[in-house]
Amino acid sequence: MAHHEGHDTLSEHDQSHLDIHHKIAHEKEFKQQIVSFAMMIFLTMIAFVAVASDAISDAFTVIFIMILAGIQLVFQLYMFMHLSHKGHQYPAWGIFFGVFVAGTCVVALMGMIW
Amino acid sequence: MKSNETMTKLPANPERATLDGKNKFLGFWFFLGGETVLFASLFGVYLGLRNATNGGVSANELFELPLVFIATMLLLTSSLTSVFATMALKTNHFKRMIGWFVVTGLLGLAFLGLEIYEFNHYVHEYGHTIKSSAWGSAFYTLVGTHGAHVFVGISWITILIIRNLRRGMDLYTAPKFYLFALYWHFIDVVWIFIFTVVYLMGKVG
Repeated sequence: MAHHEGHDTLSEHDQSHLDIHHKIAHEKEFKQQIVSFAMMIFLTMIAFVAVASDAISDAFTVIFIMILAGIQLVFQLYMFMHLSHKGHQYPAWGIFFGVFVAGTCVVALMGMIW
Repeated sequence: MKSNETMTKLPANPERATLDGKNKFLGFWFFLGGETVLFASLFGVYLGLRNATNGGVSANELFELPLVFIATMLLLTSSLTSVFATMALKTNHFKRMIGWFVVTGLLGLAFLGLEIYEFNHYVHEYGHTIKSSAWGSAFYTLVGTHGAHVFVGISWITILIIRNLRRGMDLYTAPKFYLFALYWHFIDVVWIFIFTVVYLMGKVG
């Protein structure tokens, strides 16, 4: 894969190995991102179709599209925003604390207004 | 395939290679946690007031799914292009990264154009304004705040590109571009919930 001319020094040799590993990792990530994107398009379409068709009851539709949105949230955070990668422990705490407060906030506001 | 000479120049995660980059990275994720709460407050209010139409037009009569679907596809695709930009960033392909960010910005601009058309349509064709009902206020505040975030994002990336075009990729520019990509994904996450909670649930009733 990597066209490396003359491995004259050991460090350069090691470096080329490292590059190959990075390259393979990136090609793998590229495929994963494409699959994630296709999944998100697919989920979005299902959500729109579920609402546009009268086949399913309204109460079920609402729960169904909320679950689809939740799955898309996970895809965005873990695939597109790389939350699954190394060194994301504190960012994960930050965003999930935000999500927790957000959930409480939505429930409280809805309850207060109704 | 000249990856060898380009990839060896920067470390694997150039956006977090310096202390400055590390701080920005962590701080920005915490900021996004705060943004989540900001939007949650607007979503909560919207959900509470979504039937308070004051005798005016209802969500079901107002929204048109094809328009919302196109807007969603635009924003979702722009999220993918900013992933491509991030991948170009990590493999030290500066021009490729800029190219993908330009595409991202243009898709964002198209989304914003569609939203302006939509709001204009609602106000002039249906008399649905921010003052017409409690639901109107909640709708324009929530969707408008998201639209403002898209506008800020487009301005941000435009300035970043102009400012750093000649500088190229290094440990100073990498964190800046990386954070923009994070912000852009966050905007897309918020939109996923807007099209679900506002538009699709509005159609369900």
